Amino acid sequence: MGTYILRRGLLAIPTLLAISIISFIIIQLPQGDYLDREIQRLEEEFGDSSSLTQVEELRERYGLNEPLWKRYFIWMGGFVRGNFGESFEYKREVHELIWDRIAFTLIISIGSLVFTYVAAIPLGIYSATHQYNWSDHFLTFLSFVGMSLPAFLVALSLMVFAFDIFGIPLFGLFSAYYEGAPWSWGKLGDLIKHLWIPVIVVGVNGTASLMRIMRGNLLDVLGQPFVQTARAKGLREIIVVGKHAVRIAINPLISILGMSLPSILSGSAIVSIVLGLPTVGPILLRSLLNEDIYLAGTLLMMLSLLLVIGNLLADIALAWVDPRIRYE
Amino acid sequence: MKRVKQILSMLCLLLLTGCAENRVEELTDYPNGLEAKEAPILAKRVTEGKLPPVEQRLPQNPLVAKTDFDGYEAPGPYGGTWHRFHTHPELGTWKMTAGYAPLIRWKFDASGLEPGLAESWEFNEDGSMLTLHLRKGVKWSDGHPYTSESFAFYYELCQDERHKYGAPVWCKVDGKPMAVETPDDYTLVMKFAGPNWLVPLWLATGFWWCNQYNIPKHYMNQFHPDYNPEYTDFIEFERQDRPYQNPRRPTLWPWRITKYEKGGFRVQLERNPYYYVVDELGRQLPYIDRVKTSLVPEPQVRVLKILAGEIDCQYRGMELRDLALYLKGEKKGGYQVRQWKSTAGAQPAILINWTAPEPALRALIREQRFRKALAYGIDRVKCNEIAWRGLLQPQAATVSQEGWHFADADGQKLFEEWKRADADFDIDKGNALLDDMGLTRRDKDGYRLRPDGKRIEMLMDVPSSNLNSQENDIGLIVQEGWEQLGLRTMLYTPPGAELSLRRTLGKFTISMHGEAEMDLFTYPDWVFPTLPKYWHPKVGKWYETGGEKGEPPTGPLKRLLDLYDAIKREPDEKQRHQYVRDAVRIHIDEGPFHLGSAARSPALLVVANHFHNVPNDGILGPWAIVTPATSYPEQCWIDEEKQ
Repeated sequence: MGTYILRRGLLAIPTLLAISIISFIIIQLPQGDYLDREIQRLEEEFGDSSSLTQVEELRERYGLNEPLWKRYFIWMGGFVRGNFGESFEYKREVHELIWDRIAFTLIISIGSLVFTYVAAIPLGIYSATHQYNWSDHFLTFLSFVGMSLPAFLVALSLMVFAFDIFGIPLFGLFSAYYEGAPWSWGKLGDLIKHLWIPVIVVGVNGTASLMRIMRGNLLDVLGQPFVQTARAKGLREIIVVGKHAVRIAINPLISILGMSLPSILSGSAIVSIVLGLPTVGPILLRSLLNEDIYLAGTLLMMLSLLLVIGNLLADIALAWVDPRIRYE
Repeated sequence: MKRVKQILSMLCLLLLTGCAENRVEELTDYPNGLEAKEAPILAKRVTEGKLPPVEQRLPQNPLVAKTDFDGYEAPGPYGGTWHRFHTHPELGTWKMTAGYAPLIRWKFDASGLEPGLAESWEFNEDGSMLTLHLRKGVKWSDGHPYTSESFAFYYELCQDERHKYGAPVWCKVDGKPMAVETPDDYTLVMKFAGPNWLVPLWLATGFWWCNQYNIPKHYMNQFHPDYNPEYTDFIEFERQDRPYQNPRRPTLWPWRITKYEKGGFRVQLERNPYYYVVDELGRQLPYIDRVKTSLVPEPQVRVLKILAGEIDCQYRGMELRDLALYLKGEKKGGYQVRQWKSTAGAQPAILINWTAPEPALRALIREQRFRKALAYGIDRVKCNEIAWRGLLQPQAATVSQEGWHFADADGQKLFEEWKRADADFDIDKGNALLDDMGLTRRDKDGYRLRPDGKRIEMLMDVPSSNLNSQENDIGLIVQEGWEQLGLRTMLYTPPGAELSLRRTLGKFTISMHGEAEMDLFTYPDWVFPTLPKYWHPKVGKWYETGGEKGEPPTGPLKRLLDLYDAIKREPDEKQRHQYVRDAVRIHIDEGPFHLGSAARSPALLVVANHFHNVPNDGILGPWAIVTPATSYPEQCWIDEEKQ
């Protein structure tokens, strides 16, 4: 097990390097650089870019005249030493901008992941054990609705309804009073009050599909001979399902765990943009649009790192749950 | 043990009473209401000995804020917090509101200049020397005196090769830079190589120049390589020299930054205790104690914040398409929507590249009849109805009608003529002009052929704006009209920054750009081809580089540039305005050089019901005249009981 983790860890290094090179090139593929984008932004937003004086001097200052490979090595050289460079748009060191956004992204992603599994597994079990019952039909209907609704649409509709009916503006992770205040119990409560909406919105799609998978798997397993044997032995139904059948049926759900991470991370990005949450998503989108290369590159690297770690954890969890997995 | 307990409980009691006392000590002990000459929070610090008294903090002859606008109610009480948002980490919208402390100011109605940090200024006879007399006793927000040293230091930096920013264009006459002299702390002399009558305007224009030339030498020295051997370059210097970001850098703004968090997502400002402006009663401004502003890049979240009543007063950052929603939410959100003037003359203007890359097209474009035909092919009423829901006015492309060049009756008459010039939608007239040019041969699809036998095909660049779709709608309407003229028109949406690159490098045939300009003396490029922009990129390049690059002007463009050169040499302001009118005459008679669609949209403002002294009307558009900062927003006040 130890060598397995070590091997996977070592393998992550070339993976991340490859990701960094490809993403750094792709970020800069469009014509023009950050300053051209900035001129265009000012013109689009305010009809005028005269506030941006001395463009050529800034270009030199940011090293945008250097060739691409040189910029890459400057950035990568700093990156491994923990210096991620400077964001052009925010005019701040990248590390000042990203850490609490990464933290909020993790909170929302992990929250939705937990929500997805906690909601999907019992519902799936219930659905399978009450197959073709009216409640199963109802849950099936709900899960299809949940799967086919895009998360951003759910978020937008929630915003409109919450405002129209209750007069509550749904956005951000804190109310105006706690925004920027130091951490306190009140602020934590405020965060939790705001957090459940994005967590559920991001988790809706995943919950619906996981529920269907859980139901299908369990139905498969329930038809197998060992379940009949268990029943014949006179075990109570709750033990038959809970201890024997679910134990087998849950394995695919854990291998899906690794795969559902990317969709949850990107799902949370879109929902964050709609709901105005302080996560990685909105600044990643802006930095890509603006060719704010060091910020975009660093964020993409961090997200990739999260994915690599998440995948590794999922694999370990699977190996732990299913003893048939070998490490070779 | 018992003793220890006793002592502990005594201590606790002391601490508690101490806390309680702190809470009891209210600011109401200090002069309040209209008799207070300074804010209670400052008066408190004066009695604590942390701040000199207000008389010593104000200049001998403080600047008195102007109140001669509709919407001014009364002098207000001190206190409160102003909540708002900004749209970009550099706080552009805030700088335009309260980041404007120039030597000379624009008047609020943009009809001319008025004193700022300088009490007065005068030119010598031939306009080659400008003398400014600074207000005595103005202080930076840390209490250090503001003197002529600041500008001298700035100009030194401009000339320093190691500092990346060169001298601004207005310092130079015929390519020769000016010399700056400071005979004493309150006199600033600029000597130019020739007449440079427009310099006072440049000193007043935009928030960007005054924030460059007002630089606190006493603070910035510590990052300067000549004064601190720790630094070898100006990177740290430049990083510290950002008044909107660095709380330690002294400023002249009414409110100084106290917190700049998470890349500008949360910014807090507090009143500058040394602010040099007072109200009519001689009370120090600003009235409002604190400002909290947060970065909201997503337009839909801005809408929600306003509807929720979280915003006290907001200039800029609202879209016209949300007007109905804002009006619907007025009551619930406890605010009022006001509509100022954007003064835009074309939203957007259709640019016809005078120096189009394709020679056959260029020859056609230089023919006035061709350009007139294109103008007749645009259904401006439809542009207004479809893209702007009928909220604008259809007209030819112009600069801002409220500009001071057109202030009198003659000017307005000329401007009306300009607005109407070739501004009708008339396909027959357009076709007749094209036939008259001899472009009568058509191909089997009905498109007209060029003299060389190829089909006339024009590519029109349309921005892929994620902010609004007006340009796309208008692009389609223009295309529809021009196709009826037998001219093949194709829309092209360049990715990323390619759109603006194609514009500045002159690689386009037809493109788009919103048009508004209040002062053509400092930003002449919509009318005079002085910069590589808009409808004249390559001729502008020629003028900008002094003839080194680009293409030399011919015909009307040559005359336009001659007129601009005359403006720069002309001592009489009235005559300068006349030259602008002469140039407009060239645009009417020999144009159009760029085409209009719809224009003059309202600019939205949100003002909470408890927020006072906001003008009812004004100009909120072009940046150069820095509105609303010229209306002295530091005299806005909050009725805290109703907040």
